[in-house]
Amino acid sequence: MINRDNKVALFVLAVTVALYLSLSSIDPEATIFIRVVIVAIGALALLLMAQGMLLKHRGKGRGTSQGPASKKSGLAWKPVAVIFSAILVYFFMAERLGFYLSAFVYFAGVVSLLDWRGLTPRKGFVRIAIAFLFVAVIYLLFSVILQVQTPRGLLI
Amino acid sequence: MAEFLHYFPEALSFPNMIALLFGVIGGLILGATPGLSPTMAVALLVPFTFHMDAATGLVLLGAVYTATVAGGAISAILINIPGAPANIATLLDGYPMAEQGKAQSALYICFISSLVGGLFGMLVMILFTPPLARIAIQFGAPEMFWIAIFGITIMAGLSSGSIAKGLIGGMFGVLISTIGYSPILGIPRFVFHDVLTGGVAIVPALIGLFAIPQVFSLGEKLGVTYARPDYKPEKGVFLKTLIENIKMVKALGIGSVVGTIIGVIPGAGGQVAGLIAYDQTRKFDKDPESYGKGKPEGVAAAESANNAMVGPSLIPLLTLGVPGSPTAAVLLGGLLIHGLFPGPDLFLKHPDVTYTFIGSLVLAQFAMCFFGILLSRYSYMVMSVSNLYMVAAVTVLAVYGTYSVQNSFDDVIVMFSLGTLMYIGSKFGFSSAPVVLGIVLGPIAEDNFLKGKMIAEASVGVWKYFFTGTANIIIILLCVGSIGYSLYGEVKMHRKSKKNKKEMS
Repeated sequence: MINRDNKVALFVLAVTVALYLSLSSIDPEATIFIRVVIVAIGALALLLMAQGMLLKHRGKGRGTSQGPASKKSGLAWKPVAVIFSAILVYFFMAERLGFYLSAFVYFAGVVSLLDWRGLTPRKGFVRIAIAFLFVAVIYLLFSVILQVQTPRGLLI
Repeated sequence: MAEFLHYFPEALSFPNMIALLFGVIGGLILGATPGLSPTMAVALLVPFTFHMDAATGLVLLGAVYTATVAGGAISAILINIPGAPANIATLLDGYPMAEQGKAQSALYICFISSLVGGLFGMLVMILFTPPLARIAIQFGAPEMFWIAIFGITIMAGLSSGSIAKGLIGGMFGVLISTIGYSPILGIPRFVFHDVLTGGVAIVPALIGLFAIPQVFSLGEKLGVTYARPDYKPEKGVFLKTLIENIKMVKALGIGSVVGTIIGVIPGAGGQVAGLIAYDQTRKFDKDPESYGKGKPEGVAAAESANNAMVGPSLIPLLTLGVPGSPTAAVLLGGLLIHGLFPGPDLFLKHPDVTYTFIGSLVLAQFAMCFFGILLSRYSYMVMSVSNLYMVAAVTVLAVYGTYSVQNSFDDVIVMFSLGTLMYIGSKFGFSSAPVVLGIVLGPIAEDNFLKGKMIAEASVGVWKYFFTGTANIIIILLCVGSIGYSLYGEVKMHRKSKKNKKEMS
């Protein structure tokens, strides 16, 4: 059965072929370095595939060579999905409401969404207060002292 | 040395001292916070230095780098979780000391030893960097091309468990760096969307690749809580520990020398330095069995080593423009946004900024020791910060920092997209450091490749120009050696795990 490293290698190979083909309409002089790099990636994908075949036990589990991909990571997709969606909403808000207001809404919102089961009126108040304090410190430090420009919208 | 002394008073100016103190205190807090990597902490700060004077910005980044390495020892000693990979060896004896009620003594040894090792490493850096830069200035296009490739190969081998995946990551980084207009013909490449017209800037890439995967990883670990350390500081311990620490000449000596040597080797890092120094100190001790059970010499060796490597780890960056560690790659971003191009020219064109930066790193060692000892009594507060708040705070700082450099929301989108892709990649065994290195070194590699190709076609031919000459051959051999060594390590690890499996069954 095809193992995980081989799947990764096949995917990388497919990407390199697609990238190489996408260069066909561009002047070859402008892409000679890129072509060399793409060929090198293709060769490395083949090396990865060969390693996957020779060192058979490799790549059977998740995240074969790194810590973060533990057994637990497969189960914790919900908070990741919540964070991902919250960040998209934050981006949408940032240009309309302004950086500071949207940062406050994101901060208070994401901590509440990620731990909504343990939310009590007291905890909610503490979270809003921490969000307010964090944004206020950033505003003072960067907008007032360092005078960094940020997206402006409603309020500040 | 004369230039260093000439520019040293610059490091003592009021704005630089404020940046230094802010960086050291912030770095100690960030270093002590489990779950936040020092590289990410420095990456998040890079855009804010854009609004400062170049020297002050670098002083801030250097101070944070120095302090996060030492600060990581606090959580290693108190709760058995290293704040940074560089502190892994510290917990071997640091945590047993804390369990025996000697946490205060262990923390004091940690900061005093860090100061000793850090100063030794800085001395070596000050003495050796300018002469090496004078040698490197003689390098031409082919040598600089190979140096860029060497930078990617070493990081690929050491930051990722698989050399093939590390190199693929590094090469994808190089590809990302080619997005935008071709440097010589001005033709657009990979511009699939307007957002990519100007290419991928270094700051969004750094922040996206280091901070966003960390935000998602923190989200995965929301349920994790750390034990509250049982630590009650007492009076009179400092003087007693200081005298005890001074007597550990052998451990401090081994730690400082090993840390310095490992630091100069690009990519090796504090983790390797700490573990080798710890192991050597144990071997040279009359009572090696006592290590791992709360031996103060173990803490002294590990901490002097990981701080001794801070200065030397910047030598490849300052002399060749090749970052020796992920944090050095981030510091490179800090230099680039100020229009400073690391490499041999740095000492000639910007000696004021370069020597002020080096001088501030020396001062940061003293400040780190002083504030480390002072703040260690409040460290339990840092360790009780929930991952929930870190998720929110890191995201807000990442968005804010990315936007503020060019006032561009396109940069924020690029940052988030790269970060999300990196997070997915991390699930398949890819790591951020080689990709960042590829993005940073890609333009150096492409520029020198194209320059070299043009010169070669008009003279001796491409093969002869790129593959002959002593310097070229040495650097190519280093590239091959670094890949070969990593492959050998992988095969060795494979055999070991196979043997372990057999024994278990």
